[in-house]
Amino acid sequence: MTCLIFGKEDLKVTRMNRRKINIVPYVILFILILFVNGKMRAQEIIHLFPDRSFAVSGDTVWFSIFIYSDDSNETSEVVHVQLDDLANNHVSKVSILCSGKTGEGYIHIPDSLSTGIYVLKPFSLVQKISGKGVINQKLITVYNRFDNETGVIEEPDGIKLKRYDINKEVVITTGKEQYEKGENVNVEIRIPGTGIDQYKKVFAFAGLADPFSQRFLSGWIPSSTIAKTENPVMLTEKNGILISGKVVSNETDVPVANAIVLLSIPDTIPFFDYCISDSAGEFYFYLRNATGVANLVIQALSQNEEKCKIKLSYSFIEVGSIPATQKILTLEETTFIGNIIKASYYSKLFKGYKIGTPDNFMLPMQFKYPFYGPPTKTYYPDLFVDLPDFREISREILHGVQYRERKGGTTIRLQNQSISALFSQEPLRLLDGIPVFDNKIFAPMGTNDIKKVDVVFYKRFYGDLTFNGVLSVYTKNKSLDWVDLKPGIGHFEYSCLQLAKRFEFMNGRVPDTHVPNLNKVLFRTTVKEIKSQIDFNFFTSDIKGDVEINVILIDKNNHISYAHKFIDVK
Amino acid sequence: MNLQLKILFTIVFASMMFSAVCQEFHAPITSLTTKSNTLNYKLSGSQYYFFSSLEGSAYLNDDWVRGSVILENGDRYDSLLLKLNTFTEDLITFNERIGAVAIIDKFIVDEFTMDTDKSSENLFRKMYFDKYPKGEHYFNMLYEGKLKLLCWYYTFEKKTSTYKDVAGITRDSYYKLSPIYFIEFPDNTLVKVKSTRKSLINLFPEQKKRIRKLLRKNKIHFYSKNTSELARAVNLIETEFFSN
Repeated sequence: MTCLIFGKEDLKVTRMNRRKINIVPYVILFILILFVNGKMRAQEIIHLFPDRSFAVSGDTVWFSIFIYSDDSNETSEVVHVQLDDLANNHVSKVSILCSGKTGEGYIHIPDSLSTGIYVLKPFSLVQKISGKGVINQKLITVYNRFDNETGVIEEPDGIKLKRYDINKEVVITTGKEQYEKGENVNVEIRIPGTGIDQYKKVFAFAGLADPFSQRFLSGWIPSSTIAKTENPVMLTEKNGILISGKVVSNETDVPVANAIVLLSIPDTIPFFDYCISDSAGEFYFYLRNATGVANLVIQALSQNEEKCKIKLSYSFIEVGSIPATQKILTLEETTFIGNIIKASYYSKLFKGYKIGTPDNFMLPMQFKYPFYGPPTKTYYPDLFVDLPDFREISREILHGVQYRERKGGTTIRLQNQSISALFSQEPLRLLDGIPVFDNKIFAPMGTNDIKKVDVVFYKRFYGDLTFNGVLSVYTKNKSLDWVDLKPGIGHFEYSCLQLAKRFEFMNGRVPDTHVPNLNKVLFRTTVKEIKSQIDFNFFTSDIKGDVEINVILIDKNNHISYAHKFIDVK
Repeated sequence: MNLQLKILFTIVFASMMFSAVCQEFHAPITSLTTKSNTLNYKLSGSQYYFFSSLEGSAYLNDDWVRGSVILENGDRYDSLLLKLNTFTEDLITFNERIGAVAIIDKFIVDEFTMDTDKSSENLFRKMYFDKYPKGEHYFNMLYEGKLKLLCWYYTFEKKTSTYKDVAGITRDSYYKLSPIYFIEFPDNTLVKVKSTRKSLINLFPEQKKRIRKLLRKNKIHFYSKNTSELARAVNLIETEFFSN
């Protein structure tokens, strides 16, 4: 009956109201989806700015990093930079600790790397785990220093470089346009007064311009990660690196769950940690403030005493490969390549060739005692009479340590000073900080081999692990040879955070006129104080050609722009 | 030996063998799971034994209370079962996963909280005391501002007439808890103070009159043994004399 009361207009209004009512849940749902997506899209963006667009094999490429995300509190402070070829084959990787959303680092170009275009991929662990990150890849051309006849090079095909916007307000001026070899270049960067406040980071660098790859400096290739990486733990790396891997059965290669994975790093005060493998056999450790290349010793103890092996994952990121086609180089390009390869040869002739040694490992101790606490007693066998083996040492020097060599095997028991009795089970035995499960290893050690012995005569806990006393033997030579000979113990050399080195560089005048100055990069800096006028200078090297001065500016909205200028060196 | 005894001994020996071969790295009552994993520095410590049965209590809290521990490196552990032994000055935790009682190493602890009824009195901080007894002690932070009011809970054995403890052993002492209060001045000097009006006023010889007036005006009489009056008094003195 109600419809009789309503007219046509009223009927329309009712329908519209009904529509409105029906739409409301969808609108709410839509807003909710947008909100959730927005939250999920609070992803990290990382940009890498190398100081050059090309390198000769054996060179070191320096770079600046800029990282930001919508959630500034949860932004990673560790950025991994990976060098891959165009087909996605991994060459090397470094991990840089950033501060204040910027970082500086370097990556060595292996001497054996063949001529071609390579890709520098900066990424964070969050990007790797979430699988949603966009990796802003930078291209760099590497010329092999033994490759004298480069005529053809594989270059990306069908992929357009994304370019930073040219900043027309910023003016770079130099005293003149043409310079002699070894001449001082005064550079003046003028930022308009109104613009100073809007920029938060400014990077400046200058170097030889490669006619083939110079375009790579002002552009990048964004690429999505291929797949989400299954990581046993979600972590934002703030001051360290996550080490992860898998425990598998030695015989069947099947993942081993609930195995106790022990990580040891031999050092003056040894590092020790443990992790229980999950159902997929995965484990993880977080190494804080560790720099250089660590000697990781990892062993796994399964619940059923099954022999296990460790597979460490090296945390490379996988993105789509870049299709490439062959390009025939022009005469100008081949001449430039020939010149810089010759320059590299002469540079090594005059300066010598240093084989890059990995950075020494450094791990600041978090506490004043090792993980097993203050030792109850420390013995220095060297201070006593010469004793040929550990049995003699234990008898004569190590009071409270019962060491028995029998036919069935060698046993060690420590005194439990809490209850004045011997522990009924084996203590934690450490050799240079590495847990040992075969007591025979100590047998041949005499006073000449042992530096000191720490003993803890109490039941100790480390997290959920229990030790029936601790016997920690430190040798004089600290060799890890025994580790490599023991089956089931994984010994890995693992690059931790890169040791921070001075990033700023200014090519100076070479005092000895007989030694040529063959630097390809002439200047790089992160501007500390952004002023309306930024001045710097550098000397040109002895390589003729174009020199490009680049200034990268990042404004408060995280927008990147750049300004550049060429000068000619005759 | 009858058959039942033989079976019993066989089972006992078999179970002993099992515990001997099982992993030597964890308490045999339970196998470890991923719940044991943490990115924090693991809590380290030594086995705690409940030995003495003197009268009185060696603990600040006889029952386990939940609390948090913050390590010197900034790592934080929440919801631990804690006890403070004020006789040995050990922070004790009951590890529910492995069923063990451990003394948390003092060298790793920075501060801890115990979730007691008095939320204002549950923060303890490790501090170095350069007078007797020299060393690092856990101080209860009763008030924190420019001035700090701290309490060191000190339990000692006090002689008494002989008695037999629960184990039938003759004892001649009992545990006595003695809270010792300190005020830390802005220059980090620690000065002992009693929970009395006179003791507090004596710390500020030049302001005696004004402090007396201030306490009177704010009706702080130190009648109760509650530390809140002392904390209030310190707060007032700080506002009045240390606000700049």
